[in-house]
Amino acid sequence: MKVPPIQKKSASPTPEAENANSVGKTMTPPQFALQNGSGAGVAQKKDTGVAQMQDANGQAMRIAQALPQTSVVDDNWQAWGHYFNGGGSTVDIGPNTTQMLIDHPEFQRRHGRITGGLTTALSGSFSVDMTGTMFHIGRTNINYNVQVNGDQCTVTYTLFVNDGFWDVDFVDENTLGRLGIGRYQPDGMGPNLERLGGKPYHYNTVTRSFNFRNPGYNR
Amino acid sequence: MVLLVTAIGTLFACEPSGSAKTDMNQDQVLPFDLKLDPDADFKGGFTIREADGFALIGKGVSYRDIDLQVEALVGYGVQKTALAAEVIDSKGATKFIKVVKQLSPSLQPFSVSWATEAEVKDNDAYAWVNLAKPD
Repeated sequence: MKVPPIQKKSASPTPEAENANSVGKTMTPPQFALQNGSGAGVAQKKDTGVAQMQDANGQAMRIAQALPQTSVVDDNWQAWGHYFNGGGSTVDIGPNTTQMLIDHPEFQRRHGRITGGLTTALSGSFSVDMTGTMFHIGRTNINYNVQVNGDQCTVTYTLFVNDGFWDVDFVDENTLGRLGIGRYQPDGMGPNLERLGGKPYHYNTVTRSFNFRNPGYNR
Repeated sequence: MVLLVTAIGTLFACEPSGSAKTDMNQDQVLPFDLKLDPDADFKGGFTIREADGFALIGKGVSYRDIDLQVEALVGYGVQKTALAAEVIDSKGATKFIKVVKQLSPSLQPFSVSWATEAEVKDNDAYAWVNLAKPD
């Protein structure tokens, strides 16, 4: 079962976003396919990689390389599957989840402020709470950077910054943890609030850029 | 079991598992509805954010008003009409800035300007808070 191709949608309904371009760091859709069986439903890149080298006669040789595979998590089941079976390895976030984040009203509101020139900082960060739409992502962090080039600007978002699936025992976190008991405090990749033998893991970041008309940024 | 945990998680959607990433130090009182949040990298740093979550002073922030890239927020001072901060810039130098709310925020809600230590940190008009430097 193929993962659907990433949809190249504008992050804003405004006309200036119509020329938005997507610069995905890791997402080239044909490289991904869902894995059945022992992969616990986690999608993995199938491309093993091919390198070009030259032999003594200058003939090009194609050498298959066993590149390390990176799991792709694109829903809550895959997230839990990787928690229990992934050994703590970092994952890529899939295209559907990435698009859900970009389409999220909280993201769109911030994007509107940035493209409308209504921000104090040209680069900075904010967070979006995806708990209701993609539980394992929860509140995730986004960095942004506005590049000014005359009457045009480009905003580059780095998604899922310093984020991952960890501290999964939210019940203890929100009860005993809120009482101030140390081992029930969230600690990211640390041992607190990890359960049932699962291992916490990081998300790789994803980058997206959008062009817009300069609303008044002058640097 | 996983299904049960996931289902409970959905029920608790109003209490996100990641909420503790930003729940510390909510007793800090800052002007203009600003708030102090711990950084998401668990390295002990802090960021001052606007009411809607935009970072105003913290790691990675740069400004349209002044040429400054903040590496770390190490202290801040509060008075009724202004907020001042001591920061480490991207070159490792200590800098002081002052933030005031724009009277008519046609383009940006706050303006940021340079300040000196004497103007802000050594000024009794500001209630100063020193933060631990991040790891």
